[in-house]
Amino acid sequence: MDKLKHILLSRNVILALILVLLGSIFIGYVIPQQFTTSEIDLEEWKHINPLFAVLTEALGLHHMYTTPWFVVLLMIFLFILLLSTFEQVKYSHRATFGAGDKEVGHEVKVYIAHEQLLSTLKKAGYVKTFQDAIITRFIIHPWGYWGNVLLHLGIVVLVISSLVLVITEQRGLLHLVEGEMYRSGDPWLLEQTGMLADQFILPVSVRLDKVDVDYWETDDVRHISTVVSFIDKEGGSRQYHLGINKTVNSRGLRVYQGRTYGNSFYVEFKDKNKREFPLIIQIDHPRKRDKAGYGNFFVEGIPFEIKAKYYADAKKASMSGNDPLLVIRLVTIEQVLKGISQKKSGTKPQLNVETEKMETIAGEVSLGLGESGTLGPYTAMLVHVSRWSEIIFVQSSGMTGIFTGFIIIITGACFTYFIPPREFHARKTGNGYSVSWKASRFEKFYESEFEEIVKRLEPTVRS
Amino acid sequence: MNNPALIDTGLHWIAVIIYAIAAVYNAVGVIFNKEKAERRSYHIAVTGLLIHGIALVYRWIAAGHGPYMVRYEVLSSNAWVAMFLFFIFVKIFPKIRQASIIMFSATFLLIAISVFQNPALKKVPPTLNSIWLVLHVIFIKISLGTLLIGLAFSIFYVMKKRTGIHWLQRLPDIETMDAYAYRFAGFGFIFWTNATVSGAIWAYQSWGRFWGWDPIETWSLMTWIFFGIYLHLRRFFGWNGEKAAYFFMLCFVMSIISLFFVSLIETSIHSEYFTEE
Repeated sequence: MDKLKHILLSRNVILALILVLLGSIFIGYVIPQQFTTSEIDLEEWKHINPLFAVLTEALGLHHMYTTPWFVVLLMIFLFILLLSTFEQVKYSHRATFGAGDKEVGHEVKVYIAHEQLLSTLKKAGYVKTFQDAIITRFIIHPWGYWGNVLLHLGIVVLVISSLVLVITEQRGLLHLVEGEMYRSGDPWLLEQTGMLADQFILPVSVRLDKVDVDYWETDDVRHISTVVSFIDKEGGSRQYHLGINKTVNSRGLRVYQGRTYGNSFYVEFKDKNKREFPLIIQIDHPRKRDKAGYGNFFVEGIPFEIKAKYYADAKKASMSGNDPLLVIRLVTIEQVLKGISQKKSGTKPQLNVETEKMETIAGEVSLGLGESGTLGPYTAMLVHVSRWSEIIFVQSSGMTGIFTGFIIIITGACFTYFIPPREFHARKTGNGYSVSWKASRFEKFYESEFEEIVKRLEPTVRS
Repeated sequence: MNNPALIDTGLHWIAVIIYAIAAVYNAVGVIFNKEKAERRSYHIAVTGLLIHGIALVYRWIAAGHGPYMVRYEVLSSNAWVAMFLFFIFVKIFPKIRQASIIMFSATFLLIAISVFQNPALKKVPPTLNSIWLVLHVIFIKISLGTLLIGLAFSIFYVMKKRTGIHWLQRLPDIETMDAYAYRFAGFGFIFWTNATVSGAIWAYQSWGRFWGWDPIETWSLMTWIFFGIYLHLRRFFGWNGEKAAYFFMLCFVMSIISLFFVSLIETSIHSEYFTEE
């Protein structure tokens, strides 16, 4: 058992483990990760890098941080860290309260009464931490010996809390239009749940009551805020104000204001036979007053792709979005032949058929609120415009642990690098003491401390 | 004369010129042991720091936010913090005085690069409107400043050991320089950790997640681990001297990549403040 402990705590094993973790993070950076990359982009990357793609698929490198082997690696790291923390507690306890090393450094003889020794060292900021018949030990900043313990303990707390968070977290994202209600249990626009988390079902229904957006004179967004109502099963309702950096905590949930928002356009399509096709077009808000926001849509029964864009203001004079201009295009998309070429694959000749997309515009119309116009074989009318906004719901545990871990790490690092402990040993010899001194770190900076203390004990010094 | 951009860039250019003069005086003073020139370089640099400070405050008022939105102001404020920190540390640790030759040049270089960036004022987006962002930025700047001093001593260490350059002999002995590099690496590590923590809290407050493996976050974590390894090697493997100095330089390069280059080549949440539209 001791041998195993010795191996696990050997400096080389720890260093190797840190390097493997570092390497894994680097691979996670180089290889696109599925939680930050779209499926299309990931496929494209695999297509461009066929050799890496095989390895990536086999080892799950495209979801590095959720692969079993990475979790195992993290567990080993955590175990060793725990073991090391425990060993360091023992060491720090010994270093703080024990008799210390027999040989501490260059010894100087002083003929001085015990009380005088105590008062001189007290004045210099040294605390008596140990005394027996022979040895008296003083330390300045004795808690500095606990810096490494805290550093390692902090990392343990941080990693455990992060794991708890990752495997239990539930996140749901919604795009709600003003007045729209999201009922508890409805599907999310986007849902992310940890390995051990159930499907994320809100305990309440949510209605978006209002969206407000302020702009700088440069057209950049100054502030986004929304008013949402939580409606419980009994029909009771409570209103909350959300904003960027202004979250709401309620019923164990944290609710965040998302960064994306825009306008929702209710457009009524009618064909020649007066058949109606209601369409709701939801588009991201334009970034500038003279720029448009874009979106492409398909509607059942309409054999065209609908390409839409809108300007925040029909006159392009403001960003308010109160008088937007919607432009709709009906487009047919066909794959047309671009060319045929012949290439040899092994011994067999192969035909290579190249096609390209060709768009044909079947109709285009610009609509202000309440306006109608002809759009190819349809008439289109903009009936209503309202705002939509992104709202994020999170249910998680572990965040307190993560921040506690961070605080412990910082405290540990401060203890280690700002306040290195220095020891002063006094060994009883006849009618005086042999005194010596050492610093746990950065001895070069504090050498003069010992000289100054010894000077204060003069003229009784006999070196 | 009512154009804020003109006043701002004008003040910055004055600061650049003053820092350049200070760097020359300092180099002459340190290399040729001209005490008067060295002392004068400090006076000139303090003047530069004052004018530079006025430029930053003026820009802060004109823009309505701190110097953390566009590369121009980020680099410029990094230069100011590095110089300011050096003046503080030189009071606490007088032996680091000769590091001025690298600190003055680095400050001049940072502000000189900044004035060639687009100085247009950019309004702060709502996600960046948080006290945690301010702390995040302050900690990063302090970290960079302390690491620069550590870098100076690592370079001095190698130069003094490898060459017989005369003026290097007036630097502290190589053991002391090695200890300074180690200690300032420790300081830098603490502030880098603080920056990471405040950044995580800010991300949690803004987006509901404390870590998202954003490219800059990932590079920042790798840099933190690199410095962790450096400190580990020194503490437990007894690394010191030349190999520790080289490893510190590697860590410093990592930090520079994280801070200045990743946002140029990668799409990142952090790019929001670096985008020059």
